[in-house]
Amino acid sequence: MKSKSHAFKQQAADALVNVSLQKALLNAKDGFIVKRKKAMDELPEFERLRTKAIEIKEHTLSHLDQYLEYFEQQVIKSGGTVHWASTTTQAQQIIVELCKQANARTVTKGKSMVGEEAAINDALEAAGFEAIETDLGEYIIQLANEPPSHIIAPAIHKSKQEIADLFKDHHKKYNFNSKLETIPEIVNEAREVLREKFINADVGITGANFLVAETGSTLIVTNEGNGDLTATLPKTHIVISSIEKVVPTLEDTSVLLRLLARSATGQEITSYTTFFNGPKRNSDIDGPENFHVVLLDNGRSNMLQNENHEMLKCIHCGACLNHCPVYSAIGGHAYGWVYPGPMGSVLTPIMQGLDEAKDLPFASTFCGRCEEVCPLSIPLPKLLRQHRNHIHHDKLNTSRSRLGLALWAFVASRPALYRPLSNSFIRALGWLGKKSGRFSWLPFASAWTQSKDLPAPAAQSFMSAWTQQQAKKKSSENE
Amino acid sequence: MNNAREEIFNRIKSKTRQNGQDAASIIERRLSAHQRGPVPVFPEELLERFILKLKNVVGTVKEISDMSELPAAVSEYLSSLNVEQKIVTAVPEIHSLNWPADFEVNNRAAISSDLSSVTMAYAAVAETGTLVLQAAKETPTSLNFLPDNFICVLKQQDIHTSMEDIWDAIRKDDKGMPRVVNFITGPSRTADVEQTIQLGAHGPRYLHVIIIRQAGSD
Amino acid sequence: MRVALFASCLVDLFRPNAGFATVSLLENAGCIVDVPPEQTCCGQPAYNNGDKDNARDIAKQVINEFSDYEYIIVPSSSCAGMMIKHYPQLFEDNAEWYKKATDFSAHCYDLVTFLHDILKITSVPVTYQGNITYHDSCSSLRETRVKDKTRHLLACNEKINLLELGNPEACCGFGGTFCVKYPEISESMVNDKIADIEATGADTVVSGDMGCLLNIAGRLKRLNKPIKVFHIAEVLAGMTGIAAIGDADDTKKSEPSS
Ligand code: SF4
Repeated sequence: MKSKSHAFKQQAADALVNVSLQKALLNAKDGFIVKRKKAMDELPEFERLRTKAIEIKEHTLSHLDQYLEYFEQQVIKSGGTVHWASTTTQAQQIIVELCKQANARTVTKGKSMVGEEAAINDALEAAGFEAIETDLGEYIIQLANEPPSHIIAPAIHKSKQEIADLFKDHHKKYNFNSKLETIPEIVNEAREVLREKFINADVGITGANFLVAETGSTLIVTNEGNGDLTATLPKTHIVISSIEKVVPTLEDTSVLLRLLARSATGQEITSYTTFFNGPKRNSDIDGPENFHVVLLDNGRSNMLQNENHEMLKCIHCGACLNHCPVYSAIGGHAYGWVYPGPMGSVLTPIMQGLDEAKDLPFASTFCGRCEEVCPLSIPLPKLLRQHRNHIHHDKLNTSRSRLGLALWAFVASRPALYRPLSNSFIRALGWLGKKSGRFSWLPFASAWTQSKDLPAPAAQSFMSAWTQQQAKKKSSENE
Repeated sequence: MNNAREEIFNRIKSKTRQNGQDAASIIERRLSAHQRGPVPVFPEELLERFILKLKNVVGTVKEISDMSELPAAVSEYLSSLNVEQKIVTAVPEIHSLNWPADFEVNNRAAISSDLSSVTMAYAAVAETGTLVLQAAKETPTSLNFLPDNFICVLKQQDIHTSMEDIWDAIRKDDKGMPRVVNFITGPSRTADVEQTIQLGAHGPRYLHVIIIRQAGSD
Repeated sequence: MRVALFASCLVDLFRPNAGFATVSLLENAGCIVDVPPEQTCCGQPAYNNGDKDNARDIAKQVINEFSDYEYIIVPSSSCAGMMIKHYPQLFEDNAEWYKKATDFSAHCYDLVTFLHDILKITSVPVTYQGNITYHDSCSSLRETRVKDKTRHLLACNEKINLLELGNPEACCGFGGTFCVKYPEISESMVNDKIADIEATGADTVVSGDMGCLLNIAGRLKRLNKPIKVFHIAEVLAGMTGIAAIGDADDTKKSEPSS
């Protein structure tokens, strides 16, 4: 999808006054946090697992080419094929070509954020295929023609009513006409509609949470079982993933899985965790005949040795979104591209350009909760700060904010200037605000005073009062 | 065909510090060491733990002492769900059992109209209450996902402590990695509508595990 | 024990009483307090806006001014975090200054840590009476990590009845220039915080960072809520006799006492 991150400010402001979105966000707010906390409290091994997970990721990334090569060899041994895409366009071309080779009409899809990143659905539709998302959340937003607003709960912004309305419009053509009122009714109708799609699909596309070098396995975790139906029933199974997802061994994978489910949904393990190894074998009586893995780079290899390399450890659990106060206030769409929240504010500027996404790194109070909950301890605030440094360095911020900063810094680094200036400034303000103790409007602080009063400064600064007091003390001692 | 593979590898190689020979032995060592990370410990016995965790995720359990009791256990379970006395299975050990005359047993992979399936677990993980199934001629994957009511037979001695034990067991079999390894923990579920958990999203609505107790245990 | 006070720019300009309260707490525990005159700000506004050069200039100036002191006390977790954690990071590519910055940071303490760990105080002359709730600033949770220490200090005096927030880990939405860059998001965050404060039933909210306090007080006053706002130093030092932050000075007493 085309990035709308440049319009973040407006999108964020709109999100805050979007009543149904705010209701949905409120509803979602504490659920993830409470569930994660409970799961972590029951896991005394958490810190040790985290340390091990970081070791696994760092080791793999420093030998990435070798592990990818090994992975590829194992996939070939199991009868599959690995395709490589430097860019999202290449990934689209490969997948469209594979679907053509399969003589496909209907393509079912399991949830894949890399698939979103590469806008696979758009490419498939443009090439004339019917592409159907099968994860319920993804299906809902596909009907609504919207991008996901959360990396693990893509339709978290939609209310039951909105979903029922969408189904009413879109399921008419399948002769579903009943009015849906309850969540079970909604889930059931989606099940029935999508069942047909699973059965009739010619190609199934899934993502991969991890790629296991040792065995050439690609693995997915789902709660719905849609990924398994997508992978099992059609003649061709295509996996789309990205190069940083490889891990050395099955044991390493187990470590990451323990962290992933708990960080994401607070589950000890996701309902379905499935390892795929190539196409149907001679003795098998079901399974796909063709097995392809498409691996996307899209700028990741360039991150390996630069200051952004920490972001390659991300296992896409979504914990940083769930714990981000900015994300909870505005939801995912405001961020303007496929990855929202703290991890998105780091990734989007890397993948879509700093200028396009220059407002995202500033959409953080640096409260640090994301880093605290991240199962890989990725220093998200530090990475955001690095983006800010570049934005300032490349002069991508507004000249007004640069000038303000420069003036302030000029004064603040010169105490001899700062003292008299600040004293007279607050003397004036303090005098003006003395009566009420606060200002409800100030010309230079309207961004503050639009929603908050500004407590009035003291009539005399601490430093000047202190100096006076000390002088008095001294003179009384001398008397 | 593009030359993306070469480009990607060149970029990675220029960024990572490893040089040929040494690095190759490092990764080979790592790949063959199968070193485990921290594995959570629990106080319960394996069977007890498995059942506890399975029930937490809304799975149901029936223990029997012998394979011959399976038809009755399956029949009873289907009655409790109020569904027809009909299953699909591909496990020879199961369809060759002595099923009641009015009970229909289909011997094949699952199709969409199948309501209930019975299959055999390769193993189970006590830590999380998880069933482990492999794709094979006798245990085709569709049985695990298409029917509404998924009945899985598990031998008590196949319950292991952790996922890591499963990897060791698969290596011991020495038949390579199975085409599909499913770790299944409870029935299908979704929370995509207003964060409310709803069972039976696309896969089974019910998961029933019939455990065949190990001879000599009680 | 001779200690130096870094008042922080917000205490200096907006809440001198919190500065004097800090001095009072330190003097009561037997410290001799110096206030080096050449102090302005710790440099966070520049640092957090990507302006490393100016942040470095300010940091150098602070380090030079305070280099002779064994103990440098800051009544703010965010400034203390800046000085302890981020000053060294600013000079990672300058060996000489990196060393100076790490030496300096080893001597910096936020007020709560210093009272609790170094002075080990066990009684505080609280005069305030009533129900308070405490807002943990993000830097006090994740940089100076004084959540429990703060509770210990508040528990030193039984006059204080502490009512905990329902969601004590949540940011109040200040975030330095964040709150003027994204005023609407900041407002939404502070509204959540205020709802949480009100739900405790406390009549006063206390915190250790002036930024949070100005933000919370500013929104409370805009909404005409009667809840009072004080800096933790003021409460611990028994110096809550003046108008609370953002309230009108109805005591007619403009000269802070010490
Ligand atoms: S950055 Fe960390 S917390 Fe955020 S999605 Fe990635 S792994 Fe999860």
